[in-house]
Amino acid sequence: MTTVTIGGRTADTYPGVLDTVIQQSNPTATSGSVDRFQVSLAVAGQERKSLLQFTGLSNITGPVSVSSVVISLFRLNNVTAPNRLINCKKILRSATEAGASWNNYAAATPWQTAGALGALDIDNTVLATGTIPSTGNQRFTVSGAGLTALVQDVINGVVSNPWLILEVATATVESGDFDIASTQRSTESQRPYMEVTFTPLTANASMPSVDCTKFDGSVTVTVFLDAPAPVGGVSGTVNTADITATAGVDYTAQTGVAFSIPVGSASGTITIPILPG
Amino acid sequence: MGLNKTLLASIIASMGGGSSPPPSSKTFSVTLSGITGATPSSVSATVTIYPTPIIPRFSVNGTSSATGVSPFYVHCDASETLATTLTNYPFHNLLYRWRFGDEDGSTWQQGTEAGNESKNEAWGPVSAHVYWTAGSKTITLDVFGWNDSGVMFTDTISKTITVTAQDTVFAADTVYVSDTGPVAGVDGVPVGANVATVTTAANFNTALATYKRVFVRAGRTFNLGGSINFPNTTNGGVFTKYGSGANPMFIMSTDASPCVLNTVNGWRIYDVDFDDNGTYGANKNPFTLTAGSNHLIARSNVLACRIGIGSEDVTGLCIYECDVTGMYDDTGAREPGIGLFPSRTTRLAILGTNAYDSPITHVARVQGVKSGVISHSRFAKAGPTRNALSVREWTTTGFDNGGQSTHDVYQSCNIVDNSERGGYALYCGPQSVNHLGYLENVIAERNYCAGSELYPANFAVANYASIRHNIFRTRYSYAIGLGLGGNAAGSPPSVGIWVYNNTAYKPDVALSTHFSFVSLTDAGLASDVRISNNLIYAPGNTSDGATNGTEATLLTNGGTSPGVENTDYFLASNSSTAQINGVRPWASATPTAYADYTPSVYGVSGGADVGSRIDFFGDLLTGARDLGAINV
Repeated sequence: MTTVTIGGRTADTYPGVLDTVIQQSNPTATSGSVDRFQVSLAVAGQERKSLLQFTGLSNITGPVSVSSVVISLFRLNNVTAPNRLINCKKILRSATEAGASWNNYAAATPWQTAGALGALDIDNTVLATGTIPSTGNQRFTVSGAGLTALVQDVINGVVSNPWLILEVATATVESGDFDIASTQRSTESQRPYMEVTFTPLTANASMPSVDCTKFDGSVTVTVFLDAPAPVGGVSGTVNTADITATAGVDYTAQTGVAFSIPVGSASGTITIPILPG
Repeated sequence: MGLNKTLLASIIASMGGGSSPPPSSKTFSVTLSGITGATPSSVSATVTIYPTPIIPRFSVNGTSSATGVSPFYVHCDASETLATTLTNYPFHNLLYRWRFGDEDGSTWQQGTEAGNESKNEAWGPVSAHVYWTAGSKTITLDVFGWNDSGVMFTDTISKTITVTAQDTVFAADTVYVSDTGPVAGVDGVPVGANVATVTTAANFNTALATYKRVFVRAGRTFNLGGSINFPNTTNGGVFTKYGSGANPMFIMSTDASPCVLNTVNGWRIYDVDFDDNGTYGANKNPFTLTAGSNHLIARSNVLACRIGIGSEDVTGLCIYECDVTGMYDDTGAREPGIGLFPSRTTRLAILGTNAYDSPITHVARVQGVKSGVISHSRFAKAGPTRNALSVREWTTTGFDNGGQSTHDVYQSCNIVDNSERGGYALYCGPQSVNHLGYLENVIAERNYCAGSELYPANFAVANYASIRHNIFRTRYSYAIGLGLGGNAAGSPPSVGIWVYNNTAYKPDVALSTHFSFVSLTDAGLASDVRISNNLIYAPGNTSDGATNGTEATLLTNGGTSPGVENTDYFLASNSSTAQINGVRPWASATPTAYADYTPSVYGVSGGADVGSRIDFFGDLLTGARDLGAINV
């Protein structure tokens, strides 16, 4: 089992975190270069949500089985206030750090509904949850089974690496508009990071024998993998050989036929014509 | 005349069956080499090309083969057989013939009527057999299929199993017991044998803790005063009688189950009888099986009980030639008795067994059975509004989708509600409304079902049922009910219900003057419902089953959405209304024996296709299709 961190700290295993905040009160503002972001609804109609993308996941080579994913954030302001529950969801848009705002997910490209609220903007499944602590100058975490599964799929090439959004769990107005350190934070130790714990998998291929009849027209042989195909997929060459059947009489020979299983898939099929004999 | 089994056997022999795979199959290899992105660098497979459209496959006791100690119960399941170019429903539409390679040439009794079907042979996708003698046994499966042009194909597969003699396994683990000092060398006890005097359940438990085979002296009676708890031993064990005379009688002298098999495997209990000594007890259940696997209960008689033979969560159970009667009524605070009550039991076989007279509830209640076969048995005289044989899904409370009854065959049974108490003789369906558990892949064939004051049979099967070659005799307004629209509220609607080549007879109008062969309920919610080639005779009825019109009919639609012919259900080549009310189609004015139902007129239809080619008596159908259960 291996644990790596992805973040902007020197100690992190891999670099690669993008982050920004979108603000209802200032819907055109972009904040990708700011050293903090917020997740809050401190004033009615002035919600703030944060966007993060851990691009450094691309440094982990699949297939892997991910057992734990934790996003670690640092709350700045040392002002006592009630805990605040936040949710982590998946953004469906290809946002940009420099261009994302309340109105747009990238420069001059609007969300379906401002604030990333449209069905084309966000998958409202809660992937992970966290609690912004009541006092500042400390780290807190965001985690959940959905996030773990998503990161596994990203590493294994099943899905592309999406932006994540952090937003308050309830629409209740709560005092406090606490800052969270971003990757641009000068104090390196306060920057966000993602901790990923995983077990590398090596896909083992198998190809069970099959039965067919001479009336079937074709036979399908399936190649199974016990783990998803890694980045680059699985490939090989198919050849057939007579045992008691005769190529050209009982079946159509296959010679040097290219075969592949795409990244993220766990099986592929080989179809061979069967002749009436 | 249809092709009989002798001729069928000659066809099989001429096609060279008997090995696995057939000699004429051919093979080639497929190799994927130079693999990148996975290991190993190369993998290979063999493709076997079968010479016919049929790929026969079967398991024995859930595995590719099996070995055991005599008497050895084998359960054979061919539901993995494929014939994709012939049918999408091989379980239903292929013909399966088993030959067990046993020297036992005796025949089954078919219900209450002497039968002619050999115990060494069986038909259907699921079968079972008991080998009473040791040796190497070859089980041969012949599978037949037909294409749309009626051309027959067949293929054969065989497996050889080994049945070991009891003495080989248990010679050093055997004890002979009786209530009066058994003596080695006397009364059937071998010289040098272990002997013990036993009178109570505690004594039997002591014997079973030491010995895997316990012989109990014939003709003796034991007041148990408790339960015999059968232990888990390698190769199970044997509990039976020795010597000549009647089966030893075990009296349930206290309110306890005499045979408790809890999480144990492979017991053979046979030739032992049970009685309650004339006193009621809620726990007087002769056989209580929980979990465990591969038990045989054979040739045992139950004279009075609450539940004769009950099982739950058992994998592999054969009830063979048992006789269960005297189930309790509800006098006072008594719990009503059920003869047979297997629940959540996989690989169940009930063979040649008689369960008779449950005054209050079902005679046999089979729930949550997967890969089961019930054949050559008799179920009769259920309680009011209950069933002689009740086949259901398993439901505990509320909605429960975990206990479907699937891939079950009920054949060649005598299922009779002769109680005049108003229940179905045979019921296949959900436990009640609002249950998601259901039945699927059910075959009810070649049974004799007689109703008294309600349908001879009612089917509310969710997915795929073949109801074929049965004789339904009824005094009620319908021969069979098909609950298709949800199988009772809350269950899935039916898909693939095929009712064909059945014979229905309503002999008189004493109970009602109205009749329809099928009461079709909510067909508009079902799909692929076919009713064809059925022979129906109901003279003297002046209206259909719902008291409409002026004569008996084939079909009565009921429920809230009765459906549209050729859309929701299909009818083909059944008896016409004129035939239903017309000339008697067989010679006998008072048909009683099964052969009396052999049609003499109206016997051949226009040739509608049917999925099975074997009639009530096991004769193969060829060419034009006959109407009814019996081929002419």
